[in-house]
Amino acid sequence: MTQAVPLFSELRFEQDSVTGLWHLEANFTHWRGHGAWQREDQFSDGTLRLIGLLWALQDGDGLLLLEEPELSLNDSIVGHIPLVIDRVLRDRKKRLSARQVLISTHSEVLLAQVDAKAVLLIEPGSNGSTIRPPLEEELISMAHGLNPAEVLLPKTHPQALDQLGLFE
Amino acid sequence: MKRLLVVGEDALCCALGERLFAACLPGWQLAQTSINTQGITKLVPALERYAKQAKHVQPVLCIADTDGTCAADLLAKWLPSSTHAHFLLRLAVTEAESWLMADRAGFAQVLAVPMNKLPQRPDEEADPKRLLLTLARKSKKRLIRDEVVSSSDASKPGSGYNLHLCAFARTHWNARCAAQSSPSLARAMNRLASLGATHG
Repeated sequence: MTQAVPLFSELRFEQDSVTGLWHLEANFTHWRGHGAWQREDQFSDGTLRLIGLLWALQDGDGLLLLEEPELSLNDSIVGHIPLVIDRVLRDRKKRLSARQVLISTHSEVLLAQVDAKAVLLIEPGSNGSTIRPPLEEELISMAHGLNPAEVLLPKTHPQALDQLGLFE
Repeated sequence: MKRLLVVGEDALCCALGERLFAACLPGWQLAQTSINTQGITKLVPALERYAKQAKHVQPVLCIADTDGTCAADLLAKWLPSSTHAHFLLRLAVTEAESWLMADRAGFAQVLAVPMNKLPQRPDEEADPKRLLLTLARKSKKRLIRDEVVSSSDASKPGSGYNLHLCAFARTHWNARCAAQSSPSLARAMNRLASLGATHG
Protein backbone atom coordinates (compact mmCIF):
# COMPACT_ATOMS: atom_id res chain seq x y z
CA MET A 1 0.00 0.00 0.00
CA THR A 2 2.76 2.42 0.91
CA GLN A 3 4.35 1.90 -2.49
CA ALA A 4 1.13 2.30 -4.42
CA VAL A 5 -0.60 5.16 -2.59
CA PRO A 6 1.30 8.45 -2.33
CA LEU A 7 2.02 9.54 1.29
CA PHE A 8 0.23 6.48 2.74
CA SER A 9 2.06 5.22 5.83
CA GLU A 10 -0.13 3.18 8.17
CA LEU A 11 -3.53 1.50 8.38
CA ARG A 12 -5.45 0.81 11.61
CA PHE A 13 -8.88 -0.04 12.97
CA GLU A 14 -10.50 2.49 15.25
CA GLN A 15 -13.77 2.19 17.13
CA ASP A 16 -16.04 5.18 17.12
CA SER A 17 -16.52 6.08 20.78
CA VAL A 18 -20.11 7.25 20.23
CA THR A 19 -21.62 4.69 17.84
CA GLY A 20 -19.32 1.78 18.63
CA LEU A 21 -18.81 1.14 14.90
CA TRP A 22 -15.39 0.13 13.64
CA HIS A 23 -13.68 2.30 11.06
CA LEU A 24 -10.60 2.03 8.89
CA GLU A 25 -8.12 4.80 9.37
CA ALA A 26 -5.05 5.51 7.31
CA ASN A 27 -2.19 7.82 8.08
CA PHE A 28 -0.95 10.11 5.34
CA THR A 29 2.39 11.76 6.01
CA HIS A 30 2.81 15.47 5.48
CA TRP A 31 4.83 18.36 6.82
CA ARG A 32 3.65 17.75 10.37
CA GLY A 33 5.53 15.09 12.28
CA HIS A 34 2.58 12.74 12.89
CA GLY A 35 0.86 13.06 9.52
CA ALA A 36 -2.93 13.08 9.14
CA TRP A 37 -5.32 10.26 10.02
CA GLN A 38 -8.21 9.88 7.61
CA ARG A 39 -11.25 7.61 7.77
CA GLU A 40 -12.48 5.38 4.96
CA ASP A 41 -15.09 7.92 3.84
CA GLN A 42 -12.22 10.30 3.10
CA PHE A 43 -10.10 7.82 1.13
CA SER A 44 -9.90 8.12 -2.62
CA ASP A 45 -11.77 5.48 -4.67
CA GLY A 46 -8.45 4.00 -5.75
CA THR A 47 -7.14 3.67 -2.17
CA LEU A 48 -10.38 2.00 -1.07
CA ARG A 49 -10.28 -0.35 -4.05
CA LEU A 50 -6.70 -1.33 -3.43
CA ILE A 51 -7.39 -2.06 0.25
CA GLY A 52 -10.44 -4.07 -0.81
CA LEU A 53 -8.47 -6.01 -3.41
CA LEU A 54 -5.60 -6.92 -1.09
CA TRP A 55 -8.02 -7.77 1.68
CA ALA A 56 -10.31 -9.94 -0.46
CA LEU A 57 -7.36 -11.87 -1.85
CA GLN A 58 -6.08 -12.80 1.58
CA ASP A 59 -9.41 -13.40 3.28
CA GLY A 60 -11.27 -16.68 2.82
CA ASP A 61 -10.70 -19.75 0.66
CA GLY A 62 -13.61 -19.82 -1.75
CA LEU A 63 -13.97 -18.71 -5.34
CA LEU A 64 -13.24 -14.99 -5.66
CA LEU A 65 -14.99 -12.90 -8.31
CA LEU A 66 -13.43 -9.53 -9.12
CA GLU A 67 -15.38 -7.22 -11.38
CA GLU A 68 -13.12 -4.79 -13.22
CA PRO A 69 -10.47 -4.46 -10.48
CA GLU A 70 -8.77 -1.81 -12.67
CA LEU A 71 -11.38 0.86 -11.93
CA SER A 72 -10.05 3.99 -10.19
CA LEU A 73 -6.51 2.62 -10.20
CA ASN A 74 -3.47 4.06 -11.93
CA ASP A 75 -2.38 1.90 -14.91
CA SER A 76 1.00 1.28 -13.34
CA ILE A 77 -0.77 -0.42 -10.42
CA VAL A 78 -3.21 -2.29 -12.68
CA GLY A 79 -0.26 -3.86 -14.50
CA HIS A 80 0.78 -5.44 -11.20
CA ILE A 81 -2.61 -6.96 -10.34
CA PRO A 82 -1.94 -10.34 -12.06
CA LEU A 83 1.38 -10.65 -10.20
CA VAL A 84 -0.20 -9.72 -6.85
CA ILE A 85 -2.89 -12.35 -7.36
CA ASP A 86 -0.28 -14.92 -8.40
CA ARG A 87 1.81 -14.27 -5.30
CA VAL A 88 -1.09 -14.42 -2.88
CA LEU A 89 -2.37 -17.65 -4.43
CA ARG A 90 1.09 -19.18 -4.49
CA ASP A 91 1.44 -18.60 -0.75
CA ARG A 92 -1.92 -20.20 -0.20
CA LYS A 93 -0.99 -23.25 -2.24
CA LYS A 94 1.74 -24.01 0.25
CA ARG A 95 -1.05 -24.44 2.74
CA LEU A 96 -2.90 -26.72 0.30
CA SER A 97 -5.59 -24.19 -0.49
CA ALA A 98 -6.60 -24.08 -4.15
CA ARG A 99 -8.42 -20.84 -4.57
CA GLN A 100 -9.79 -19.75 -7.91
CA VAL A 101 -10.00 -16.08 -8.90
CA LEU A 102 -12.23 -14.96 -11.77
CA ILE A 103 -11.72 -11.44 -13.10
CA SER A 104 -13.85 -9.53 -15.57
CA THR A 105 -11.98 -6.68 -17.21
CA HIS A 106 -11.71 -4.21 -20.10
CA SER A 107 -8.19 -3.26 -19.13
CA GLU A 108 -5.54 -3.43 -21.83
CA VAL A 109 -2.80 -3.09 -19.24
CA LEU A 110 -4.12 -5.97 -17.16
CA LEU A 111 -4.76 -8.25 -20.15
CA ALA A 112 -1.28 -7.62 -21.54
CA GLN A 113 0.09 -9.31 -18.39
CA VAL A 114 -1.94 -12.51 -18.24
CA ASP A 115 -1.40 -15.95 -19.72
CA ALA A 116 -3.37 -16.50 -22.96
CA LYS A 117 -4.78 -19.80 -21.74
CA ALA A 118 -6.24 -18.15 -18.63
CA VAL A 119 -8.50 -15.84 -20.64
CA LEU A 120 -12.12 -16.40 -21.61
CA LEU A 121 -13.85 -14.06 -24.05
CA ILE A 122 -17.37 -12.80 -23.39
CA GLU A 123 -18.96 -12.06 -26.75
CA PRO A 124 -22.26 -10.20 -26.96
CA GLY A 125 -24.69 -11.67 -29.47
CA SER A 126 -28.33 -11.40 -30.49
CA ASN A 127 -29.34 -14.06 -27.94
CA GLY A 128 -27.29 -12.66 -25.09
CA SER A 129 -23.61 -13.07 -24.40
CA THR A 130 -21.60 -16.23 -24.85
CA ILE A 131 -18.36 -17.17 -23.17
CA ARG A 132 -15.68 -18.98 -25.11
CA PRO A 133 -12.02 -19.91 -24.71
CA PRO A 134 -9.57 -18.56 -27.31
CA LEU A 135 -9.72 -20.25 -30.74
CA GLU A 136 -6.80 -22.32 -31.99
CA GLU A 137 -5.64 -19.52 -34.33
CA GLU A 138 -5.84 -16.96 -31.51
CA LEU A 139 -3.75 -19.21 -29.27
CA ILE A 140 -1.15 -19.55 -32.05
CA SER A 141 -0.98 -15.75 -32.43
CA MET A 142 -0.58 -15.35 -28.68
CA ALA A 143 2.09 -18.05 -28.55
CA HIS A 144 4.14 -16.03 -31.04
CA GLY A 145 4.48 -12.50 -29.81
CA LEU A 146 0.98 -11.07 -29.40
CA ASN A 147 -0.77 -10.74 -26.03
CA PRO A 148 -4.46 -11.17 -25.06
CA ALA A 149 -4.93 -7.37 -25.04
CA GLU A 150 -4.02 -7.31 -28.73
CA VAL A 151 -5.78 -10.45 -29.92
CA LEU A 152 -8.89 -10.85 -27.74
CA LEU A 153 -9.77 -7.42 -26.35
CA PRO A 154 -10.49 -5.81 -29.78
CA LYS A 155 -13.16 -8.47 -30.31
CA THR A 156 -15.20 -6.93 -27.51
CA HIS A 157 -15.20 -3.41 -29.04
CA PRO A 158 -18.58 -2.24 -30.32
CA GLN A 159 -18.47 -2.63 -34.11
CA ALA A 160 -19.90 0.74 -35.13
CA LEU A 161 -17.91 2.82 -32.66
CA ASP A 162 -15.86 4.60 -35.32
CA GLN A 163 -18.98 6.09 -36.81
CA LEU A 164 -20.61 7.17 -33.55
CA GLY A 165 -18.92 10.53 -33.41
CA LEU A 166 -19.94 11.39 -36.94
CA PHE A 167 -23.63 11.54 -36.11
CA GLU A 168 -24.80 15.08 -36.66
CA MET B 1 -7.33 -17.49 -47.23
CA LYS B 2 -4.08 -15.51 -46.86
CA ARG B 3 -4.07 -13.15 -43.92
CA LEU B 4 -2.12 -10.13 -42.76
CA LEU B 5 -1.93 -8.27 -39.46
CA VAL B 6 -1.82 -4.46 -39.47
CA VAL B 7 -0.08 -2.58 -36.64
CA GLY B 8 0.05 1.22 -36.41
CA GLU B 9 1.53 3.75 -34.02
CA ASP B 10 -1.83 5.54 -33.88
CA ALA B 11 -5.40 5.19 -35.14
CA LEU B 12 -4.60 7.02 -38.38
CA CYS B 13 -1.66 4.73 -39.19
CA CYS B 14 -3.93 1.73 -38.59
CA ALA B 15 -6.63 3.11 -40.91
CA LEU B 16 -4.05 3.85 -43.63
CA GLY B 17 -2.47 0.42 -43.18
CA GLU B 18 -5.85 -1.23 -43.70
CA ARG B 19 -6.42 0.79 -46.89
CA LEU B 20 -2.98 -0.04 -48.26
CA PHE B 21 -3.65 -3.67 -47.52
CA ALA B 22 -6.99 -3.54 -49.36
CA ALA B 23 -5.43 -1.79 -52.37
CA CYS B 24 -2.34 -4.00 -52.71
CA LEU B 25 -3.47 -7.43 -51.61
CA PRO B 26 -6.84 -8.21 -53.18
CA GLY B 27 -8.23 -11.55 -52.04
CA TRP B 28 -6.41 -11.36 -48.71
CA GLN B 29 -8.07 -10.97 -45.35
CA LEU B 30 -7.15 -8.92 -42.29
CA ALA B 31 -6.09 -11.33 -39.57
CA GLN B 32 -7.90 -9.34 -36.88
CA THR B 33 -8.69 -5.81 -35.75
CA SER B 34 -5.57 -3.72 -36.34
CA ILE B 35 -3.34 -3.12 -33.34
CA ASN B 36 -2.99 0.53 -32.34
CA THR B 37 0.05 0.81 -30.08
CA GLN B 38 -0.90 4.38 -29.11
CA GLY B 39 2.44 5.98 -29.66
CA ILE B 40 5.81 5.27 -31.19
CA THR B 41 7.35 4.79 -27.75
CA LYS B 42 5.16 1.72 -27.30
CA LEU B 43 5.54 0.50 -30.88
CA VAL B 44 9.35 0.37 -30.97
CA PRO B 45 9.83 -1.98 -27.98
CA ALA B 46 7.05 -4.20 -29.35
CA LEU B 47 8.60 -4.57 -32.84
CA GLU B 48 10.40 -7.72 -31.84
CA ARG B 49 7.11 -9.34 -30.82
CA TYR B 50 5.49 -8.38 -34.11
CA ALA B 51 8.51 -9.69 -36.04
CA LYS B 52 8.06 -12.99 -34.22
CA GLN B 53 4.42 -13.02 -35.24
CA ALA B 54 5.44 -12.40 -38.89
CA LYS B 55 7.94 -15.23 -38.79
CA HIS B 56 5.69 -17.87 -37.23
CA VAL B 57 2.06 -16.93 -37.85
CA GLN B 58 1.23 -14.41 -40.58
CA PRO B 59 2.72 -11.41 -42.44
CA VAL B 60 2.69 -8.16 -40.44
CA LEU B 61 2.50 -4.63 -41.80
CA CYS B 62 3.65 -1.96 -39.32
CA ILE B 63 3.07 1.72 -40.11
CA ALA B 64 4.77 4.59 -38.27
CA ASP B 65 5.84 8.20 -38.90
CA THR B 66 9.43 9.31 -39.49
CA ASP B 67 8.67 12.69 -37.86
CA GLY B 68 11.45 14.31 -39.85
CA THR B 69 14.22 11.80 -39.16
CA CYS B 70 15.79 9.87 -42.04
CA ALA B 71 13.69 6.74 -42.66
CA ALA B 72 16.73 4.54 -43.36
CA ASP B 73 18.37 5.60 -40.08
CA LEU B 74 15.22 4.83 -38.13
CA LEU B 75 14.82 1.42 -39.76
CA ALA B 76 18.43 0.56 -38.96
CA LYS B 77 17.88 1.63 -35.35
CA TRP B 78 14.46 0.09 -34.77
CA LEU B 79 14.35 -3.13 -36.75
CA PRO B 80 15.19 -6.28 -34.78
CA SER B 81 18.51 -7.84 -35.85
CA SER B 82 17.06 -10.49 -38.13
CA THR B 83 13.63 -9.90 -39.57
CA HIS B 84 11.63 -12.28 -41.70
CA ALA B 85 10.57 -11.18 -45.21
CA HIS B 86 6.97 -11.23 -43.98
CA PHE B 87 7.62 -8.37 -41.57
CA LEU B 88 7.14 -4.97 -43.20
CA LEU B 89 7.85 -1.80 -41.24
CA ARG B 90 6.93 1.11 -43.47
CA LEU B 91 7.51 4.69 -42.40
CA ALA B 92 5.40 7.57 -43.66
CA VAL B 93 7.57 10.51 -44.70
CA THR B 94 7.12 12.84 -42.85
CA GLU B 95 3.93 11.72 -41.10
CA ALA B 96 0.78 9.71 -41.82
CA GLU B 97 -0.84 13.10 -42.54
CA SER B 98 1.48 13.43 -45.58
CA TRP B 99 0.06 10.23 -47.04
CA LEU B 100 -3.44 11.42 -46.27
CA MET B 101 -2.95 14.77 -48.05
CA ALA B 102 -1.23 13.03 -50.96
CA ASP B 103 -4.68 12.10 -52.26
CA ARG B 104 -5.25 15.75 -53.10
CA ALA B 105 -8.60 15.42 -54.85
CA GLY B 106 -10.12 13.19 -52.16
CA PHE B 107 -8.77 15.27 -49.29
CA ALA B 108 -9.96 18.56 -50.82
CA GLN B 109 -13.42 17.14 -51.41
CA VAL B 110 -14.03 15.47 -48.06
CA LEU B 111 -12.46 18.12 -45.85
CA ALA B 112 -13.87 20.91 -48.04
CA VAL B 113 -10.57 22.74 -48.53
CA PRO B 114 -9.13 24.24 -51.75
CA MET B 115 -7.11 21.67 -53.69
CA ASN B 116 -4.50 24.20 -54.80
CA LYS B 117 -3.48 24.69 -51.15
CA LEU B 118 -2.50 21.03 -50.84
CA PRO B 119 1.20 20.26 -51.33
CA GLN B 120 2.35 18.78 -54.65
CA ARG B 121 5.05 16.84 -52.80
CA PRO B 122 3.64 16.02 -49.36
CA ASP B 123 6.71 13.95 -48.42
CA GLU B 124 8.79 17.12 -48.47
CA GLU B 125 6.45 18.96 -46.13
CA ALA B 126 8.34 19.62 -42.88
CA ASP B 127 5.28 19.73 -40.60
CA PRO B 128 2.31 18.13 -42.36
CA LYS B 129 0.16 18.04 -39.23
CA ARG B 130 0.42 21.80 -38.83
CA LEU B 131 -0.39 22.28 -42.51
CA LEU B 132 -3.39 19.97 -42.21
CA LEU B 133 -4.64 21.92 -39.19
CA THR B 134 -4.16 25.23 -41.01
CA LEU B 135 -6.23 23.90 -43.91
CA ALA B 136 -8.90 22.36 -41.69
CA ARG B 137 -9.31 25.67 -39.86
CA LYS B 138 -10.51 27.20 -43.12
CA SER B 139 -12.67 24.26 -44.20
CA LYS B 140 -16.07 25.08 -45.66
CA LYS B 141 -17.62 22.47 -43.36
CA ARG B 142 -18.34 23.72 -39.86
CA LEU B 143 -18.00 20.24 -38.35
CA ILE B 144 -14.45 19.95 -39.70
CA ARG B 145 -13.51 23.44 -38.48
CA ASP B 146 -14.97 22.80 -35.02
CA GLU B 147 -13.80 19.27 -34.37
CA VAL B 148 -10.55 18.69 -36.28
CA VAL B 149 -8.88 21.79 -34.82
CA SER B 150 -8.73 22.51 -31.10
CA SER B 151 -10.95 25.41 -30.10
CA SER B 152 -8.49 26.67 -27.50
CA ASP B 153 -5.28 26.38 -29.55
CA ALA B 154 -5.50 26.43 -33.35
CA SER B 155 -2.13 24.72 -33.68
CA LYS B 156 -3.36 21.65 -31.81
CA PRO B 157 -5.66 18.83 -33.00
CA GLY B 158 -9.25 18.96 -31.76
CA SER B 159 -11.18 16.16 -30.09
CA GLY B 160 -12.51 14.87 -33.42
CA TYR B 161 -9.15 14.91 -35.23
CA ASN B 162 -8.62 11.16 -35.31
CA LEU B 163 -12.25 10.38 -35.92
CA HIS B 164 -12.63 12.61 -38.99
CA LEU B 165 -9.27 11.74 -40.52
CA CYS B 166 -9.73 8.01 -39.93
CA ALA B 167 -13.23 8.22 -41.42
CA PHE B 168 -11.75 9.93 -44.50
CA ALA B 169 -8.97 7.33 -44.73
CA ARG B 170 -11.44 4.45 -44.48
CA THR B 171 -14.08 5.72 -46.87
CA HIS B 172 -12.66 8.10 -49.49
CA TRP B 173 -8.88 8.03 -49.43
CA ASN B 174 -7.50 6.58 -52.66
CA ALA B 175 -4.13 4.91 -52.09
CA ARG B 176 -3.21 4.75 -55.79
CA CYS B 177 -3.90 8.45 -56.40
CA ALA B 178 -1.97 9.31 -53.24
CA ALA B 179 1.02 7.16 -54.27
CA GLN B 180 1.48 9.35 -57.35
CA SER B 181 2.52 12.31 -55.25
CA SER B 182 4.10 10.51 -52.28
CA PRO B 183 7.20 8.42 -53.09
CA SER B 184 7.32 6.91 -49.58
CA LEU B 185 3.75 5.69 -50.01
CA ALA B 186 4.52 4.33 -53.48
CA ARG B 187 7.47 2.38 -52.06
CA ALA B 188 5.31 0.97 -49.26
CA MET B 189 2.71 -0.16 -51.79
CA ASN B 190 5.34 -1.79 -53.98
CA ARG B 191 6.70 -3.75 -51.04
CA LEU B 192 3.23 -4.84 -50.06
CA ALA B 193 2.42 -5.91 -53.62
CA SER B 194 5.65 -7.88 -53.88
CA LEU B 195 4.80 -9.58 -50.58
CA GLY B 196 1.54 -10.65 -52.23
CA ALA B 197 3.42 -11.93 -55.28
CA THR B 198 5.97 -13.96 -53.31
CA HIS B 199 3.75 -15.25 -50.52
CA GLY B 200 2.76 -18.70 -51.66
